[in-house]
Amino acid sequence: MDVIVLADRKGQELLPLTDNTCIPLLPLAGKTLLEHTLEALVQAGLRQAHIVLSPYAEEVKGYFGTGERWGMALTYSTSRGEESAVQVLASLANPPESPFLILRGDVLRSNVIGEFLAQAETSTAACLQAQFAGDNAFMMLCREPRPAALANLDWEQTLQACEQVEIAEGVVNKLDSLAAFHQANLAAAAGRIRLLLPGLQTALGMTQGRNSQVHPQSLKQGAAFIGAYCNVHPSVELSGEVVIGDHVIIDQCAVITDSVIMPHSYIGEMVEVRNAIVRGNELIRVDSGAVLKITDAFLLADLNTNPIHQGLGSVYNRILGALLLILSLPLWLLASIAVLLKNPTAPLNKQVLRGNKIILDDFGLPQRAEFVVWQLNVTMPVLRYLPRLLAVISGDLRVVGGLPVSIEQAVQRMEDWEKFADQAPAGLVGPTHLLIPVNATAEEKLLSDSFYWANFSIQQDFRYMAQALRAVFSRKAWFGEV
Amino acid sequence: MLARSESNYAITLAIRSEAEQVSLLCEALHALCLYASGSVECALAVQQAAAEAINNVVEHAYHNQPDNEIIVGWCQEERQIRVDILDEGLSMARLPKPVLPDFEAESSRGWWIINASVDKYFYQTICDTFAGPVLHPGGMGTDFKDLENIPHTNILTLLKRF
Amino acid sequence: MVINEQKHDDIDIVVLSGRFVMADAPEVRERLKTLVEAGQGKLLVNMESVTFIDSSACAVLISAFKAMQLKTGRLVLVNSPIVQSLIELTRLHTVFEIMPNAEAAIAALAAG
Repeated sequence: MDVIVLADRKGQELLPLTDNTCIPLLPLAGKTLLEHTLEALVQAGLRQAHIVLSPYAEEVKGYFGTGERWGMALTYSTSRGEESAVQVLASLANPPESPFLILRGDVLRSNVIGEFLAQAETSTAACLQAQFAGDNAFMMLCREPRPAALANLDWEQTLQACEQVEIAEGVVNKLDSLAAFHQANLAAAAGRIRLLLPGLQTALGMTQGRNSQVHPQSLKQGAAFIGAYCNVHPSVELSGEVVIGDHVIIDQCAVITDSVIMPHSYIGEMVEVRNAIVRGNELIRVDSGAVLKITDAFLLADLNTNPIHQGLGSVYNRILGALLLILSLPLWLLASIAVLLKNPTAPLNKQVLRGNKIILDDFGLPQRAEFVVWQLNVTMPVLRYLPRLLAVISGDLRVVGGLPVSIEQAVQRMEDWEKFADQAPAGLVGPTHLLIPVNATAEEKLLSDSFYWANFSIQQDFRYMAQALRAVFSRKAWFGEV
Repeated sequence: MLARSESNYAITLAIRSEAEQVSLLCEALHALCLYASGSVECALAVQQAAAEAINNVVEHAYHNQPDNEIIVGWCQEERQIRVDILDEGLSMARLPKPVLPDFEAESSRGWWIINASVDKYFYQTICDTFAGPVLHPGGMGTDFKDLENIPHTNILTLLKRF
Repeated sequence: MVINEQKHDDIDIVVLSGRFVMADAPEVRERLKTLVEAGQGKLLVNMESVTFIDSSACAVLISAFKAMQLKTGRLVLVNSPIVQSLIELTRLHTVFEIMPNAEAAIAALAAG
């Protein structure tokens, strides 16, 4: 049977969540909304669909492609957004063959498509509309090409008379407000909406995605869904119903109650979030709809634009840098003697590297700032890089991190894994500095940074620091390759 | 249009700075990319980005003045295509951030298209005595005083993987 | 590029073929402007045979669309896949009325 999925809502009702994406791509309990729709179709045995898109159409197409990953065959077309279903059908290059199923793919449904189709079999009406709890379920089976009742599928509906089928089980949520979106997420976490959640149940009430670190004791009561690649500190308290998206970091002693944390968000130490949606550095109150933009990156931060928000706070780093500078004073004396003996004419080399400080560019977008660092013209690595301590004090480098590179080198990083490694903050020392030979290929060094970043933990940072201190007294640090 | 091939994997093309000549160059780049990658999408994407970039040169670097030269270096580096677009016209102080303007605006979609079509692009101005910094989309700008009076070359590099 | 003008009742039809790029922009802009001003507010730009399009061509389409809006007329596009993909990339599909083929476009314009 031909299936037409209307997914061309403009999404004003869900602003600000839709200000840089569209409703079909909005993450809901670990998957995009359209993915939930496609999975519902597959569950009902439907394996091909034509999707009508509008905002961010190119991104949706890029994400879903031919639909193979979901076991479906997908085709696409576009509309001007919330166009009437009659008009959309008229503008299709290949109109569907009757009977066909037409439904909105930008509302949330679970377990209803199969039941609707089964019930529809018992009727011979030319057009059958699904109803759920007395309300429009935005789904219709048509046995003629363009029935007038199609208008009932329009987002701005004009209700037309049509034979209806009441669906008794399952759930339909129109997601027509931030509160509805919030509720749908919580219901999915609690299992009131049955969806295929991407994760395993690791404790009673807790579903956890791949590569996430979270302790079962964090869930004080209720249910929680935690996406992939999350890091939830053991002292965090989750209660009520909580949904945490992918790539989220929640710091010590934070308390999250009845809230939705959107992907790539950071929640700082002791921050309390209750009955809200957090996206990046925005806190959206569900009851009032108020949006608070938090500028203090220690409270809430957007991890997409703030790559350094892991590990030791920048203040600790700078203090530690100052301490190391004091400890290294004898080395500076030694370095100045060495450099004057070896290269009295050109004692210093200038380098411009990309650091961890975030500055706003001309467009107000955060970027990692460049900084100038001098290196001494001596062969002993430990002396050569001494001036980098100043960059730690200035906040440009962390004590432990990835290998600092220039912007030109960073630009060459194009593959996904390279971009991931590139998120690692630049450090004075780190596994790449300590364990990888200087003459190794750039790729090998980047792999090491990638490994460091993927397995990041504060304990590990302390281990590298201890290793670095030991290395200062090693033969390699004084006579090793430059 | 002039063409000179340095190796099996590189060729240099040159046209006069006229809008009518841009298509010749773009069709040639399309064919080269199709030959190298075997991918219709890749060839179209490179052509799309190159067309926008070369239009920019004709329109903004040379202010639609003909009789200037635009040189395009095309080369295949393993599974990547590199296109260098060289001109001697007005230099850009910074590479604009690729943002889509409102519908009302008729122009300035070019950088958005370039950004979406290739994997990376950057820009540099060089002259005999010095090379300016490599500029990245939306990144820091540079401040060249009186560069129009000194002979210089602007290079926009497009990189596309296949 | 080749520009071909046709008329179907009160609908003006412009059929473009080949490359629609910066070099062709001034001529097409002028032709569309004349048609919008002189026509009955129903214009179909058929680009089924356009093999390549750039942003200056999009600018021409936008200016024709805006002129048509001032006249409260209707501009309908029929796109080749390459044109459609650039229109989607620049998100102009949320503004332009696009039909899958000339017949559907003429039917839509004739209907009102």
